[in-house]
Amino acid sequence: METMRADIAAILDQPTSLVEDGVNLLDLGLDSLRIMELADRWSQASGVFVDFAMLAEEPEVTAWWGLISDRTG
Amino acid sequence: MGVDLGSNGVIEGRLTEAQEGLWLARRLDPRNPSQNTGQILRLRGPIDTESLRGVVQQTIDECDAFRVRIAGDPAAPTVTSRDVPHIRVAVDDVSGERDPERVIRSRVQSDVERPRDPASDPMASSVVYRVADDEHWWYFCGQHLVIDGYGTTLLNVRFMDLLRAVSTGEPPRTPELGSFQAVLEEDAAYRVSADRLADRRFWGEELAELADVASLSGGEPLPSAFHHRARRVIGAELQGALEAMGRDAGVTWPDAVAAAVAAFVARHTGDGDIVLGLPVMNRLGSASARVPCTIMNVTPIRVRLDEAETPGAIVARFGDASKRARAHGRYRSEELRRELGFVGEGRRLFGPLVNVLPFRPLPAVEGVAAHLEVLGAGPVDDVTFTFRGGGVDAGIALEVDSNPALYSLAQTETFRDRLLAFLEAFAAEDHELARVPTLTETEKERWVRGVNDTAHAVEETTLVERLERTVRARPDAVALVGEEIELTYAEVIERTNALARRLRAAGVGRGAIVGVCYPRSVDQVLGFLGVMSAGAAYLPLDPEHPEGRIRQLIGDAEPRVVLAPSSLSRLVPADSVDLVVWPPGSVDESAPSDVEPEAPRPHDAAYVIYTSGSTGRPKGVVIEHRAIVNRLEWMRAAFAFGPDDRILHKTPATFDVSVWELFLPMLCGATLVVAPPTAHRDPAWIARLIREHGITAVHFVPSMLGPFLDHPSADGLEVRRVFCSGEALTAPLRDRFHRRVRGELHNLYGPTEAAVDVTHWAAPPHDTSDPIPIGRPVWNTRMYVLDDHQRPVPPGVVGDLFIAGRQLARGYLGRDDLTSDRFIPDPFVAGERMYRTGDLAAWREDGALEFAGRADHQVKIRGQRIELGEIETVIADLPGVASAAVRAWAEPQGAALVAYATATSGTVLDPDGIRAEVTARLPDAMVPRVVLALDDLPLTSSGKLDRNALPRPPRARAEDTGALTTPTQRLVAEMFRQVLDIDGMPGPTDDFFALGGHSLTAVELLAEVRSRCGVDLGPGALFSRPTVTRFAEAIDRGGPGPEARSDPGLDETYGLEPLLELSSGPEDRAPLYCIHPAGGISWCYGTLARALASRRRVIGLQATGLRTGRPLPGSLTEMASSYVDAISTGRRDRPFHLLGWSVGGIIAHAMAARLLEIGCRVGQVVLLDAYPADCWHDAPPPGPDAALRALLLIAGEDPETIDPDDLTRETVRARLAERGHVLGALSDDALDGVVRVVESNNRLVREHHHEPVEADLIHFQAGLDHVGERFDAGMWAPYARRVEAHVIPFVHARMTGGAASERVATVLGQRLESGRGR
Repeated sequence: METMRADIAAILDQPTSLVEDGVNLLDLGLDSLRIMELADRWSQASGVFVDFAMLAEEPEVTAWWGLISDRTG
Repeated sequence: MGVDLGSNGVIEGRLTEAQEGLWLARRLDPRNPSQNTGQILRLRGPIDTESLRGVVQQTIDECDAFRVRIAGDPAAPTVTSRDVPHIRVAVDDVSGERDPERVIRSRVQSDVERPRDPASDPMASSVVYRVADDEHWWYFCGQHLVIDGYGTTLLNVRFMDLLRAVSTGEPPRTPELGSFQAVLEEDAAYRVSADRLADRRFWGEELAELADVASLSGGEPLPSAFHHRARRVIGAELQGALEAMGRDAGVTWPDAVAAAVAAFVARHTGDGDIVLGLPVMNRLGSASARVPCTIMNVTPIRVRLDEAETPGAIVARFGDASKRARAHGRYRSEELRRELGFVGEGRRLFGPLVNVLPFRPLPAVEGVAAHLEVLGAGPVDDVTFTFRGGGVDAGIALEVDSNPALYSLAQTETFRDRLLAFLEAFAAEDHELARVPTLTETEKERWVRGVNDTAHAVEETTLVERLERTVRARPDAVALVGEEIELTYAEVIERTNALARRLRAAGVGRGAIVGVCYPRSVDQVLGFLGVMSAGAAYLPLDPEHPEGRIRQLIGDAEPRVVLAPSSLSRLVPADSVDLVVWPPGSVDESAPSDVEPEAPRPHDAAYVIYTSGSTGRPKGVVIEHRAIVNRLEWMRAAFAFGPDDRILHKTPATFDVSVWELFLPMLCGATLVVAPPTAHRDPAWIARLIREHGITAVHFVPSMLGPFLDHPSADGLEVRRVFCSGEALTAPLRDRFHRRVRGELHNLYGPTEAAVDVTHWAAPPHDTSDPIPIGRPVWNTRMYVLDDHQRPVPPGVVGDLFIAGRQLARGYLGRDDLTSDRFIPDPFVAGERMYRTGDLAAWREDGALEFAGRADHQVKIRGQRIELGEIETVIADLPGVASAAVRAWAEPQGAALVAYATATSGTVLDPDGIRAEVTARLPDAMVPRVVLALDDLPLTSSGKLDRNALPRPPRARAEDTGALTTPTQRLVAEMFRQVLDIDGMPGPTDDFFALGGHSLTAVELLAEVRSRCGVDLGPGALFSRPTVTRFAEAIDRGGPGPEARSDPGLDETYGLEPLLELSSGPEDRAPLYCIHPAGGISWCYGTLARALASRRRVIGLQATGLRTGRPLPGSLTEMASSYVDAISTGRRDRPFHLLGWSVGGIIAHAMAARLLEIGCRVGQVVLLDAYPADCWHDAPPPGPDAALRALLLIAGEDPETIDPDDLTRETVRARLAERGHVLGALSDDALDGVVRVVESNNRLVREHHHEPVEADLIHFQAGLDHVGERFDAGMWAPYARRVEAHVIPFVHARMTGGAASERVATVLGQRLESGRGR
């Protein structure tokens, strides 16, 4: 999950400390295109199918981690 | 109403806001198939057909948003899945067909084009086509109410995943699609949320003070059924450049591209404040992220473009605006339009749309090759620029989609090419946006050089040399014809030379200016020729101008001498200039024989003509011989002038049009016929001259051509060529010309600064151009249309008009500052100049120029150029005047000048005195018709004079100068003149209302008639017979004496007859029938009848119940039938055009039904703020005073201002009479009739039920009324084939007033003219 947090911070060009649990990532400036990029990246990295639709519903780091970890484990 | 989760998971609830927007649009045009989106997914690989069908079925079953109906009260529709069957996916095996693909496409096409009724049809459909064992096409089509672009992607991704699962046996990787119910709940919550309030507040601020939003076309955007598409894949280099630009500016690449498009659009609208429409998905952070449904919105992105900024900075700013907009992107744009009041005013919220769709690859299925093809993607209201990602190898495709009603396919393709070139230059530009050209290189080549390919060899010579040449060739040909004299070329040259010697002896040589002051005559012509033969330039001085003006010109031009006949010598100020009297009256004045005049050279000045100056000082334009020779040689060749021609000189010599009249003949050896001095104002005289002398070419300023054509002497006139210039030549005038006169008509354009005319357009009878272009440049002349950065603009875009080439003037006499200001370097031809005309123009696609108005405060009065500033300066200089303004008002007979002045403190202005002063100082054309004293001049918010706020003056001039033949006519004319307080005596055809009469003055007039003639005519008589002759007839028939009164035919005098002619017109055009509103009287349509520019009979239908003793109809249908009977007897061959305001609209609809029933054709059906009778079904029956209230309302009075106890017939009558309303002058009987009719109509409407009618309706909604109510054009949808909805900014009561009538007449006029069978 920390990698995920770091990825998000990097794509936003913000410090990782800002990507807190519970924070609405949209408030940090995350937009559709960037979410798509993250989805692509994590799909390849984890081997699990992740797309924009799945991430878009609840743009928050723990929720996202939940989505991916549920399916890799 | 919230969301109901029924026991079976039934969805039920109010439509989402997104759906409501689409729903309302759909109701107006239910047959528009563009509300369907379709796609075909081609699958190659071994797939079992039934399994495939199963996968599709499963996918679609997961989309519960599709399985709904929209139902319920049209004012508050709901969506429900109750009892809605599942959407069955069918299999269609086309593998046995000879051309399976073609069969599929045909079936798919008809399905996609089939409009779906959300109340009864499935909202989506799907078919699996089996093409072969290893090829299937999956077709899907969804209505916009249930799916948008993102939703389709969700659908496709899920489908591919399920397909993969089935073919591999593995579980699906994607979760099940979400339920629409969650979206409904979320939407319901948003409606009442604080977020929504915040969003609204944001938009209110963002769009504050938004001026009219422009787009690439000036037309009104309306959903179209189909659209044009122009597509091209963007090269990888450009794509990379745009991506880099986005990165550098810190914005996403979609925003970078959109910013570039905004700059592109700005170049076409001439406005730096641009609003684009950006579609937003609205899926982020929403329950809808995994639900196929419709939630997409288009947000306005407003950005101000500064040409001095770098493209990078613009991109950055745009990115900020876009981010803010998307953060508030849930707020519906349809709602925004309503709240900003744009709907009421018919205004756009945004211009073109920019849609950037990144590539979303489909999940792969091993062994299956999938290819997705998108079919329709929705209605295009205006123009949409879509950038569609195609994947790593495929690049990005630019698709330009446009509404065919506003753009042609060619234009759409041009936008595509031009935008691509613009994007390249934009991405490559580092310094300022201004350096990015608007046109592609090819376009620039066309619109700067191609359209100006006018080089033609013309001799470098002078007018004098050409005269001499003609003299040698044809010495005995008749050169000049005057009132009592005719001269051959030999005689002309003899006198000219004598004069030249006389002038030489007086010190005139090359480079000098000589004032020439003569009335129009042969002597004047010889004067001009003599001056030029002496090497000098002539300066025409009009003896009819005020002396002060002549003095001013002489003072400014400083001529060497002034030439005048002895009778006019007093006009020449002896103290400032020498006078040469010609013809000589004595030996001293005759020409010496031993003097040799200097011949002019091509670059010498030929003439100096003064034009109006904006700061009060007129300026002298100097034209050289070579320039005017070019103009004349072109004319000779273009119109095949030769020695047999006879040209009429009738234009005042101070107007440069006269120059070609005067000197073209001698270029060809033709004859110049000189009209007597005042003849040019007298149509009869002109016609006589033309006939007597066999004139083959004559000039008219358009505002003089009109009256000339109207004059009886113009009937059957034949003249080979008629030239118009000086003002816009209108299409109706062209058409009138060809109906009256046999001859060619030509339109010419050009300022004095460019040797008379620089462009030409032929206007033959079959020319249908409207507006008539000013045309194409003449020889050796170039025309440029440039924006404010001197960049050439695209065709169709208005810009500043510049002239270059051989005909340019040398400059302004003695005004180097002005000269260098207006004659600037030509940016396209090194070393040459161009002249800034101050006119606006646009190129047509065919290379002809269209005039588009002035950029400043110059106007044309009877063809002459007037700077308003010059008149204002003169008035403001007068004692007692603090400030002055002048405005030109457009009137049917041409522009009229009205002056406004404010007084210095302690002074009272004398308007007549001011006008007299102006008359003494300025030429006729510059004298205002009237001077109005104001307390203050209106200013704009920035403190400048707001000309548009200067008040309209009262109309005051009678038109018709014909003869009044009977004593009654003379009396009527006199009464008109007095009551309306106009200048001049009205003529036989002058119309009371056109002269400025209205209800108030009508009442006055009728009172005069009563007291002077002893005849009591009702106002209806005036409405139906408003001209002097016809009203006089009405008086004669209603004349004193009991016999006259007892004639039943005289019912007519009250204007209450069942068919009332509101305007006359030719028999060969189907009339427009206007049906009465609640009060039964149709007088309210008089203004509209007059506003219809095309001549067409307009007939008002009035209630039969107005006359006592006549029965009232038992139902509205019966009423409609009887009206139809009345108008259709013997006239079944033409379409019936109907129009109704309020209740009249309801009746019009019923009449349309009846007309179709009996086999007649229905033409235009126009409803003015009328709504179906259903609206009143449940309304309580009106009380006893309702009729009186209705009467007051009809008269525009507020019933609330009368005490209910006082609401009696008498008080209402008195109130109306006191206000001067014509209804107050109705007789008791007539008033009874109105009351009966109102009561009856109220009841009939409440009882009426409409049937659906196979006709199209045009609906005008009173935009300023019905706020907060649900009235709209869509209410007619169930009862008509199609409803065309317009919203105009008026209240209900003013829908038949002047301003509203103009708007309605414009639209209706077009429809009537373009309709079949007329």
